[in-house]
Amino acid sequence: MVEKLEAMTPDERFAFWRNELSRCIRCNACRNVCPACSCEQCVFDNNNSGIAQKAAADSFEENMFHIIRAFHVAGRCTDCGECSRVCPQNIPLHLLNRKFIKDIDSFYGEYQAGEDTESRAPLTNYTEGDVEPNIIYERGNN
Amino acid sequence: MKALSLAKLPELFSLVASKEALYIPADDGAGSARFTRYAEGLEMTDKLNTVRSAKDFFFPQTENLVDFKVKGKEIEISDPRTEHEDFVLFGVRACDARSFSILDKVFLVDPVDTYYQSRREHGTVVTLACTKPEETCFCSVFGIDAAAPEGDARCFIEGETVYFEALSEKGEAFLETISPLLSDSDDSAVKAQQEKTREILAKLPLKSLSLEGFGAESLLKLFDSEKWAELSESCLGCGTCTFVCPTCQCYDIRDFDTGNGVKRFRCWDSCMYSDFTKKKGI
Repeated sequence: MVEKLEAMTPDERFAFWRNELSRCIRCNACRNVCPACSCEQCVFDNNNSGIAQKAAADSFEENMFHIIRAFHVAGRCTDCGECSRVCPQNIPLHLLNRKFIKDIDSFYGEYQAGEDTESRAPLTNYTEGDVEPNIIYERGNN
Repeated sequence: MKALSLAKLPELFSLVASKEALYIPADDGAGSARFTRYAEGLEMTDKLNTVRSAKDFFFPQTENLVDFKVKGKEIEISDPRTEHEDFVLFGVRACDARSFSILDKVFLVDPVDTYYQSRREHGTVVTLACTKPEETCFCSVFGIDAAAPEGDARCFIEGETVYFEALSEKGEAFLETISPLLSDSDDSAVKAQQEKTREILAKLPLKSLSLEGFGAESLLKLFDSEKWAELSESCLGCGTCTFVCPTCQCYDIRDFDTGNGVKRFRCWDSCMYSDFTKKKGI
């Protein structure tokens, strides 16, 4: 499915995710169940953060909440799939995480988050062989 | 009683939608049904109920209440409300329809919630009688008759015919709108359907669910029950139960800082959230 999404044009992909994410009711079940979401108190639950929020204000927030959450757990997400399973609106949230898992595997070598807790994970380690940020231009839309 | 051929239902939808906004329960492509604004070609779902309740139309998840704009030492206060459009909510089930009268008891008593009131006044609720209740249904325990739902008007789909009946002035006006498509009919088919549905309702497993033991006097005892320890272990605190609940009506009011003013809005709150108890703390 990730490959199918990668094969889409940016517009098609945007339309796909808008259709899915527009159903979000921001119940935060995905966040609450996520074993990799490890903040003791989420910024959205903290009244002192200035951005405490119980509902998405607009479609931008609707999109970005899930995309940024996927970024935050990248490299730690074990692909357990609980986010999609608990979603009362049937949003396939795990697809965002799987894209990150796929990219980590292809750039840093096969990696299974959670398997080894002793050594440093690809995204928290630096080696001279790490991909440069300009990889994004070489990969085009993907 | 008025009647219309089931095949002409799309024609009826088009007619209504040409005069005011129309919402019908339709499949959302993800395996559930939700109330969707009618556009040509949209079909009514076969599913018994929508996941999100119809309360959203009168008490939306977020709503702007008031805007404050700061100009130097002046604060300009404005009401962001625009006049709501009239709308028809078609295909509401008996259980959801009852929730409106419960919400009314909260929002329409002094001090009246004018945001809710305005939406209520602009909405016409057309309910649809159930014929195939789920095994998990238990509306009759609360005195709701799924075979004869409340609403401004109600309809019954029986065989290849849809029967209509008005129950309020707004319902009369709705039937007037669609009158070019309707013909007169007796109510024998509807009566037979109701009888059949009530027979099913009487056989449902939760039909004899007892409400005894609930109430203010036993609240503390239930609160201290040991059963909660195990039950609460699988709770995520997501509040979805309160979001989809047709009668949950708690909300939070917050200020959004726009940089040169404040947009004050309300959004659904939930007793499942950590700051709920803190805020309402005794």
